[in-house]
Amino acid sequence: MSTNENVIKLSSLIAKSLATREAAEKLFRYARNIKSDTVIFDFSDVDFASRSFAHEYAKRKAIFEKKVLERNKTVTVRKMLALVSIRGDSKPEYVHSDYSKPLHISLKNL
Amino acid sequence: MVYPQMLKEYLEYCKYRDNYFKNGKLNLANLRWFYPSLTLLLREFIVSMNVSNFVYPSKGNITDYFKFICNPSSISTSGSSMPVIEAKRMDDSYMEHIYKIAFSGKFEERTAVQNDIKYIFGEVVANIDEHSKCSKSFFTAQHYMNKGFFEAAFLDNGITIPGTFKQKGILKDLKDVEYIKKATEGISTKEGGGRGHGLPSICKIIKDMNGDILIVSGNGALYINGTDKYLKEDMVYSLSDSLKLGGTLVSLRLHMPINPVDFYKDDYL
Repeated sequence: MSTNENVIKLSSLIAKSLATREAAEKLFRYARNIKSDTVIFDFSDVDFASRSFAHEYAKRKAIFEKKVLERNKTVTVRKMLALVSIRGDSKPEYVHSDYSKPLHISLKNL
Repeated sequence: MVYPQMLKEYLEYCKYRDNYFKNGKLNLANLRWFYPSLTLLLREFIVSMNVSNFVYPSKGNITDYFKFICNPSSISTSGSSMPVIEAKRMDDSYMEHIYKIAFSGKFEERTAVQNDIKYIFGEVVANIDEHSKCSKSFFTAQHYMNKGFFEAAFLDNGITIPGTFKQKGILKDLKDVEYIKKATEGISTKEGGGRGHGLPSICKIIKDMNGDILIVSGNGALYINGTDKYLKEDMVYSLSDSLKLGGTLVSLRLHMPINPVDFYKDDYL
């Protein structure tokens, strides 16, 4: 952790890969307990943020009671946070190439 | 009937399992090869059923490997052998280990593919974490240089994808495979916006990376086909109770050359 009390280094608190919603929840829970009206999230050494993390992070940041500053965001983290912000709740579409009835398999068929 | 290779692995496991239930002995004499899916399935079956009565594979090196994977200490993030780890505990050091094993040797585009894999693995683990209610979840992977593909598998003993829908009362009276299909189309069992992105995004990404995915959960199996020229399309299967999986298996194969995908573009996420 950084020596500054209101700076949270995410790679130390969570990991270099920010994968889960739970990780975002943990971050804001930790930030809430810091005795300062402003918290600084330091993304140095973070090499990846998943969409799940980014979505939960953005959601919680929007309603967080303290001022949040961010620093040292890598390109991949920037891209993911931007993507979540631009696309909002719209979902990717996966269209299956088959809509026929399921084939039934039993041990006897094998 | 022609089945996708990864489904054949699952069906082979079911035959071993059925044979054990009938004879009280796990007869693996004709086992010639382990891929990650079969590794996880057999390992979990042996551990959870406390199986001690075996006929070992007739090939010596397969027997050695079989004994290795059945040893609890083979859950590891070190060494050069294929490790089995608890999926929920997948961390940075483990991912580095996977890259080392999976992409040993010359591998162009390594960084881009690593990011793709990190995204895919992260989403699968997040799904297990948030939906499965499992007590155990495992992961393993291997790169088969000579065969020209990388395979990874995740297995949990949770309530299954159909079970999650049924428990929440969403989309009633479908066949199990239809629930799996709905999940891959982005129907979420969680309330609130911005959910249900994980499975459709990884299906699209893996397909475009020159890969295939198999999801087996409860009485359903879904095969997303990116490369199998004989099948040409995605396949959906209803499994009889003798082939049912009490949990969820997600297996994926990426064929060489892996095509890196920039998932920040083109509506992947």
